[in-house]
Amino acid sequence: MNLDKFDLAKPRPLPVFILADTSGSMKGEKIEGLNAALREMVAALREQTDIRGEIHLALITFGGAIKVLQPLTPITEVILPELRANGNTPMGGAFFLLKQILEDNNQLPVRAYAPTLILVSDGEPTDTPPELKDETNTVEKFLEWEPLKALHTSTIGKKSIKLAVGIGRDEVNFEILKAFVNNPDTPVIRAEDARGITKFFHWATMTIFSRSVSRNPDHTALPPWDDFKIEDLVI
Amino acid sequence: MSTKFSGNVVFDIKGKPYILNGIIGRGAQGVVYNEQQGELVIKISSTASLAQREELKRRYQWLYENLGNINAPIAGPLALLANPYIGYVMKRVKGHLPFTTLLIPTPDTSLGKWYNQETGGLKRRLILGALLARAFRSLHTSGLAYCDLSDTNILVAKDVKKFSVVLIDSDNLSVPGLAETLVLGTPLYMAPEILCETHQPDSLTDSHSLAVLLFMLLHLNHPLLGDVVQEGPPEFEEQALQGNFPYIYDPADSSNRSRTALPLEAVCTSRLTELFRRAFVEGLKNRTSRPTPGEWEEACWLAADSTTICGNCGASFYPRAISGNKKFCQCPWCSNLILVPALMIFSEVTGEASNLKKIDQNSSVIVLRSSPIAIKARHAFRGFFGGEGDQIVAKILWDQGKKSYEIENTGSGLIYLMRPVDKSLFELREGKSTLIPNGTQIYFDKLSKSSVTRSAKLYDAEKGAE
Repeated sequence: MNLDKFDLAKPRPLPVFILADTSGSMKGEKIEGLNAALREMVAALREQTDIRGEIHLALITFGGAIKVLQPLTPITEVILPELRANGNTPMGGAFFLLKQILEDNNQLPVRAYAPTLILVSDGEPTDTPPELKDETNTVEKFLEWEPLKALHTSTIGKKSIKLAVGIGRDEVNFEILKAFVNNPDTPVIRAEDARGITKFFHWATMTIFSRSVSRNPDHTALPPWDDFKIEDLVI
Repeated sequence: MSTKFSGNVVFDIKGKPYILNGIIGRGAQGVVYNEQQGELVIKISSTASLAQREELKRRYQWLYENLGNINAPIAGPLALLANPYIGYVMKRVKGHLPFTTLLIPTPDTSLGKWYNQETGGLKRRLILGALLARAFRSLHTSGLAYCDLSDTNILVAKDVKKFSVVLIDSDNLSVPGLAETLVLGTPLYMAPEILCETHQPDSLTDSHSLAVLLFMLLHLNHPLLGDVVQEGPPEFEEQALQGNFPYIYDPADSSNRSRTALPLEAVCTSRLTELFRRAFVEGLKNRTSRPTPGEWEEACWLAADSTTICGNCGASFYPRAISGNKKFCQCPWCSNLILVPALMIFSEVTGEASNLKKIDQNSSVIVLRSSPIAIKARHAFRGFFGGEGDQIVAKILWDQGKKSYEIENTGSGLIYLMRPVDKSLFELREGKSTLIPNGTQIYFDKLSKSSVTRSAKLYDAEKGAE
């Protein structure tokens, strides 16, 4: 025996996927605010050590192109890239890519807990089919949108906890965000500025924390949202 | 991350003020704050429903009145908070870390260095395990159960040279059957019958939790989470904790073996192996088969006494002779070979000197060193457990000049020695010492046909077997 070299069990991954809108409209305060909020979140998540699970983070951006800027990696090894804003908003493509990653056992191991999916956007998806481009879009219509429907019906997608933040006011399409969250008990958060983005990510971090120390990370209630003003909760 | 209360003052029911100064930790049931002067902590509960608040208040009142009567290292309420808060003031436990720190190695350090140097090694873990079991025994003999045992509400001494265990979060103590407990424990340590919702927490569910804690303390892996569970989906883990997968070291079922748990032979004596088997094979479903805290405590103390230290890497391990060469044993951490150290091997006998019968082979083994070793009541007599077992009956010292071990009677009774040459019995009076040549039998009580006496024999591999 040479126990000095013995390998102990690795804790189960608690995956967190961030889908970030990096379209041209995010330029300036919005993308800077997002970068700062992400850095704070990563720093906070790093503090968490528990034998029950280990946080893994992935970052997918959609702005012109769809990129996996950070493949799913243990939080202690994550080096956050700096987000830059450019291009249109291929949100559907991002949903589709996410669904593929969730179903790939090589990228998301079978042993992982159900992921937390976080969507950040400031506007309207640009890759929707013509019938979804009119004014009277509802949550129901978006739920039928192919890429989102595929995500929601996939095995892992179904079990995931979904959170969303809309950055801005009138330009944000909250219906698509609500369709993404797909849970009447979870509000979509509205952030008007960098501070709002930070507040959202604090709340998202608390959600991840409470799952990681919870009795059962796959069945945990969300932390309260009393820190948000009532007008910033979109239900 | 609200820090609404910091800097605020809270009052206890006697009107005494406490200034809050920062959050130490938060759990599902509340937040724990530092008190400004640094000697106290304040726990403020956050349960919402009125019924739960009333129940908690009653519980804290009960704890406040009764914990003082229990001789166990529990940090309980020193004062109760006044309305509108539900909570209590308790002593801040300094110089301790959560038990969790003994389960998660520090990154960038070799496993051996962390287990043996940074956290004190196997012997220290066995002693801490004994102290933990002792705390439970005290609780249970007072009719209480812990109900929320986990690696986060047990504290252990930070200094590796110190041995101390303190139980905190005492608001999950309860008198079994008295009131429905407000919160169920943390799944890793929860008994299967609680997870299957067929039982409420009680002392038998505590015994399961204790067994899991001790197993993880020694093996660094959960006893029910083998490879097939750890590599499978999270649902398998739930299933395993409910008792639907076999114990990772189940002799009859190898389907749930673990590559990530330290091997039994590296960290357990045969007694500990047996107790773990009882706990996780029969004891999973048959609650009454589970070892009691008293059994765990004794097994841990005796195991600690049977460890030796590797001169090469400092690890403590059981010096079992390797096959092929009875004089040597091997350190499981660095594979270094060392001479089997001198041992005091205990057994039980009955009958008169001329007609002795052995009853129990090897009830315990004490590893001898050049520095004095204490023989305690738990080694020398049957029926001395817990604190009573700690009483020192004799000391074994190494006489460098005469190159022989010597025994000193430090107890309050006679010790008898039988010389191998002529089988004569020699009485060693209190306060006296004498040399013990190889092969001497030591008896800690009069020999008689109608009673059982413990005996010890010195075994020195170097000088040849006997």
